[in-house]
Amino acid sequence: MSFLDPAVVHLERRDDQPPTLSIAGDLFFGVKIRQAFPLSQESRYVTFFDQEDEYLGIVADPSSCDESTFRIIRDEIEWRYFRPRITRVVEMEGRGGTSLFSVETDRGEVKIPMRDLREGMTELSPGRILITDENGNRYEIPDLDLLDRRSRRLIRRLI
Amino acid sequence: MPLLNKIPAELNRLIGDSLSVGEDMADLLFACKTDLAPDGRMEDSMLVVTRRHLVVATRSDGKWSLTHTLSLADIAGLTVEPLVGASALMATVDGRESRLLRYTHAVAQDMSDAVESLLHLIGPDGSPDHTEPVAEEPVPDWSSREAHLRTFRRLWSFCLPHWRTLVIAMLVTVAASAIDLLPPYLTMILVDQVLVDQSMFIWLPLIVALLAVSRIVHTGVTIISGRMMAVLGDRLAYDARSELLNVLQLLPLKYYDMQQTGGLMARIARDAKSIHYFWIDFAPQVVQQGLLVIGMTAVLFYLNWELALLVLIPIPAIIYASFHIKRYLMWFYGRSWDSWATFFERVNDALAGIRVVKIFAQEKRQSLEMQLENEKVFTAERNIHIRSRTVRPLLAFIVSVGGLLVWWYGGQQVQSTEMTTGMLMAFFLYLAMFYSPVQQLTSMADWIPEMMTAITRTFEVIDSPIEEYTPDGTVDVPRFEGRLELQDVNFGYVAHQPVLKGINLHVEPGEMIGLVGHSGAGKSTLIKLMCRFYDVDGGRIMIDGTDVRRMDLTQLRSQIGYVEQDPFLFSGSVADNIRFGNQDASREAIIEAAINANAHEFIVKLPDGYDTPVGERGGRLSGGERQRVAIARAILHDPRILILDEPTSALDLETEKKIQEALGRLMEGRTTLAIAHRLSTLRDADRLLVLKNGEPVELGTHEELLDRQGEYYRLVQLHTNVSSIVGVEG
Repeated sequence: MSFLDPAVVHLERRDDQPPTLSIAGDLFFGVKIRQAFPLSQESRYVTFFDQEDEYLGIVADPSSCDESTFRIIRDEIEWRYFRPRITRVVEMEGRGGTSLFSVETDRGEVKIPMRDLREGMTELSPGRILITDENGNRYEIPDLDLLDRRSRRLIRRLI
Repeated sequence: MPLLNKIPAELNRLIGDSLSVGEDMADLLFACKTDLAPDGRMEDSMLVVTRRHLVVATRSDGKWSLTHTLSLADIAGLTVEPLVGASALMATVDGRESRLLRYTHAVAQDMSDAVESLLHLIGPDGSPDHTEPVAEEPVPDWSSREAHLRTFRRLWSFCLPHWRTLVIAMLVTVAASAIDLLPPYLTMILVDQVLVDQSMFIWLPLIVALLAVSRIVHTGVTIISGRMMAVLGDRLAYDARSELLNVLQLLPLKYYDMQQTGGLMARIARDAKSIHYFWIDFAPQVVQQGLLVIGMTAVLFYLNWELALLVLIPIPAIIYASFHIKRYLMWFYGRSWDSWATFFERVNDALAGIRVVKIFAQEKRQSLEMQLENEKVFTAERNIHIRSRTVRPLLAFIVSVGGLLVWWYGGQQVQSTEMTTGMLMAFFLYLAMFYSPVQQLTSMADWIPEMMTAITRTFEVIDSPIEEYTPDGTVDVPRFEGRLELQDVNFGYVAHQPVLKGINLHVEPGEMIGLVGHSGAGKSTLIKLMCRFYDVDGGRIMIDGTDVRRMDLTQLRSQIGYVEQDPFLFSGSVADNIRFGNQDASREAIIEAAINANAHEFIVKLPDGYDTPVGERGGRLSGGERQRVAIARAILHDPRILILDEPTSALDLETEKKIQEALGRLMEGRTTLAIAHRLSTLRDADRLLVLKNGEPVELGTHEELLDRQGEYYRLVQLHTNVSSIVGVEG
């Protein structure tokens, strides 16, 4: 079996240090946590790497781990995958070859510069949109239908 | 593709007379026209094959005569002898070889197809082969001019499910044409009865209202018919595209060997669209403009036949001019098209190779060369525009002659009160409407060949024979054990040029066979036969005792895994690619397969993990990564028989090791045929089959073959330093 048993996987973290992982008693310091399916299945399939970035293992369902481990996994993922969620599109203006998208996100207001609007927008699943700006930053609209009418109209023109 | 060239009536009779009792021309299988007489004159000859006979005929001084009539049962062998500038078909009868006919390269392809079919007919041992029927359905020849009629019928068959919409749309179009005729007539009444005579002045508002209503109704009806035809056209183009896309997946691989992908893309995108143009632009225009011309001619003659005759005077000139101007301009359009094509090719080349350009510091030269192409485009475009801007006013002048004639003659009639002013006005209004449909219809005549060619090309693909997925007498083989047997396998891409000769091989379930040989030795061809991309010409390939030709193709291929030398990945995510052969696979299974393929670690290190788009053809992954994704894809597919074409390109040691491990896991417990290049694979193989010029020369283990110091030994010596191999083994 290639998957780790959640019962033997424990994480601990001190202050703002990378967490320490114990797999059936073996300790690994400074582990990195990555998702196998960060876009299509965020809540499952979490992989662990040691300090040297050597692969340690994968847990299929992290919610089966003990509570504090699960919490650390969630925090680590939140920390590694920075993807503000857009809640409103304020304005869209073209400036030369670059378009500037003023949006409100769950992390605050931001202006997104995009060189190619259509190229930078990917509809991951119906209504779920991933926006990558010209610097490689990513933003997400989890559900287009939940945005206000004006925001929806502005986005629909582009996808 | 069996040919069915038309047999001249005289020859038909001759052949009929010479055939034995019990067989007639209804037993005709195919006929192939060739181009050389036995004495080498360029003269029609013909190869005709019936179920039992082969007949060769030639024409001399306009008369046909038979040169050979052979019973198929007597023919022990058929060969094509390549000559210089021509080829000859030879037959072996009673142990003696005789020359049947000669032909030039112009008909070589047709003859090659015919010979291929003939070989099937007489079977490998020379006796008529009844187990393999060759009388395939003759494929309609869509390329001839006469085929246009057939194209029209096919177009109609596409339209048939929507005939109601079509009839309504056509009726609405007719109504629009009829309404078009009304305003000039009303104008005549308005001028004569209301304005000049003033006897019916009270009718003024009514006639104006009628004019307004006719305009409104006409507008409405035009919108309705336009929309209906547009939707119908789109629907038909969609239907054609769907059928095309469907067929493209089912066509045999040999079809693609002969076609360029770009050309097929054009057929899907552009040619299928012409069905849309036919129904949207062409058909309604012909109906509407045609009805207008007929209706208006009738009305003009009804109003004043003498004047109507004058109106018709410029018509021949208009038809002649429109026709020839279009032809004349077409030449320039062709030039422009060519220059654009070269221009795009040049620019595309320069952009695709931009790295090479920069490395060799050739930017200036490239730019200059592109500029040159740009100038050619400019010249071609200028030539068109100068001419079309000259020709159109000239055409307008011819049209105006009609007007002058009406003024001259009509004016006289009005003066002598033989005609009213209103009628003259109506004439002018009709006149303005009359010449334009005539011009349009004429120029449409020129569209026909272009459009028909495009539509025909679409049907050509749709009607190509597809692979036979479930042949008659299919044997059900849900799960192979994996025992392979190749019995005296012969094959050639062109029938008379064998690429594989007399291959015999017995492979036990789970055994791994390495295929070795120089490039061109036939290794890849053997693999293609295993996947049944092609069928053997002679002998047979059996899996678990069943001939692969008797298996359901889907069932067969679903149990064969194929890892290519340079694996093709589809644009989509890494996960999409791994689950390609097994769409229902769970994420756990995908991860499991990737772990076994040593791909999991690099995948999860990608920012988007398994969700990472691999790009076009997997271009965003490195060669080693693509290999491992392909191995994971094969592992998940879980085939019983594995076909492996090892990559020749050198990878770094670490990647190499990972791929070797992955392949090892993939091969475990599966019958494997591998084109091997790596020493480790050769050593691990249970046995090695060495091919040379399509023939098997050695079979045995790595050690046995090295000891034998034959072909394999020489090959290994060529590729590596043989002493180090022995050292490694020792």
